[in-house]
Amino acid sequence: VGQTERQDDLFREAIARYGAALDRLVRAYEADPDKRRDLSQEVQLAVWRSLERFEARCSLRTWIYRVAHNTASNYIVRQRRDGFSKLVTLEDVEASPDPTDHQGNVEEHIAIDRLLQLIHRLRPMDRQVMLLYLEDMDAESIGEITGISAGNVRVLIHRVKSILTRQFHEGRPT
Amino acid sequence: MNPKDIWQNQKSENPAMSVQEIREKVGKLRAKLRREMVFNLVVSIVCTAFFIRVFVLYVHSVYDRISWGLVVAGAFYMLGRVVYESVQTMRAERIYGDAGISSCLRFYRWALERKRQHVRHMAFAAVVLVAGAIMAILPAVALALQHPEGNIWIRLAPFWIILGLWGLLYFLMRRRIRHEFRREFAMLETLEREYSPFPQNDK
Repeated sequence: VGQTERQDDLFREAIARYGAALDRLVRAYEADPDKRRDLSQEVQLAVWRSLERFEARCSLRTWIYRVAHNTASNYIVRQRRDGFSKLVTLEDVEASPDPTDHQGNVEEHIAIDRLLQLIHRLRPMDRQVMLLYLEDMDAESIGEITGISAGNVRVLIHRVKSILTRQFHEGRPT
Repeated sequence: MNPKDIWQNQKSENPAMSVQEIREKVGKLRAKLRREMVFNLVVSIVCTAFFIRVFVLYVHSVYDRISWGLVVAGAFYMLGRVVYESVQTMRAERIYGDAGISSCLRFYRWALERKRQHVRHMAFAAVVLVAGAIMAILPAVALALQHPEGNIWIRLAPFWIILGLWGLLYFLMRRRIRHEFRREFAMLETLEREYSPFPQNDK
């Protein structure tokens, strides 16, 4: 019972602290809103189940991100295996939110869309590094999560930074 | 515009699940897994028990003992594999814990290799079982050949049909599974390349 309570407490703490980041991660992996809801639940489920074995050998943050990234990567593997390609119906397009509803935040929405378009196009490893960089993680933590050396992460971050600079400071379209 | 600010200031859209909801979902998943395992185990045990009963009660000659022995051995082998797979499946649930430690592709490769091994073992068991079954039926076929009243081919038709169907099914399944494995391993290798930080074709 003690172990289960600990697991529940850790989960509540993880969601309170990193729930928003997990949500952003899911958005980076799945463009379709319905599938995104499923993936979000899958990630939360994986986080809860994994916490049974969390022994605090790394920080809770690192653990949560690793589980979330692996679950999302697994999701990509499944999508590829099933030969899934995303096609939407006219009804889906009609049902999607009208961009004019957000007139006050048009610029912000355009920027997020551009960022998401860029992220969706990236290879999985580059995507993971970019997402973790955008979440303000340092090279060591990114290395711990992705399993690649901190040196390699630094090189990738350098590339990520230059791409983001090109896209967002020089105003080039994606 | 700072991309980090843009990214981090996105509005959340999917609400967090409560611990209660999580528990319910996990319970359902585990129950489904348990049902499948129990079904496989029950079918394997019933078949093995039936073959053993036949072997003990009705088989007396050396030839019959060899043929039914093969059938029982094949059934036992299958039962052993089903039990082993059930245990492995329960352990594979630990991916959620292992996900905090290892890469998902490593797990995926391990799962694929395991599946391939399982299919090989089951195919071997099926061959042993069917070889025994054919041996057990052969005396009846020989007897029918010695007393050719009526059309022998028509009288033996069920035997040939079952044998032919089994052979066809075995061949088709084998071809399909091989194709499926080739596709999955090729995709895994592509993903492994994509997951390496600096793939060779990355300029």
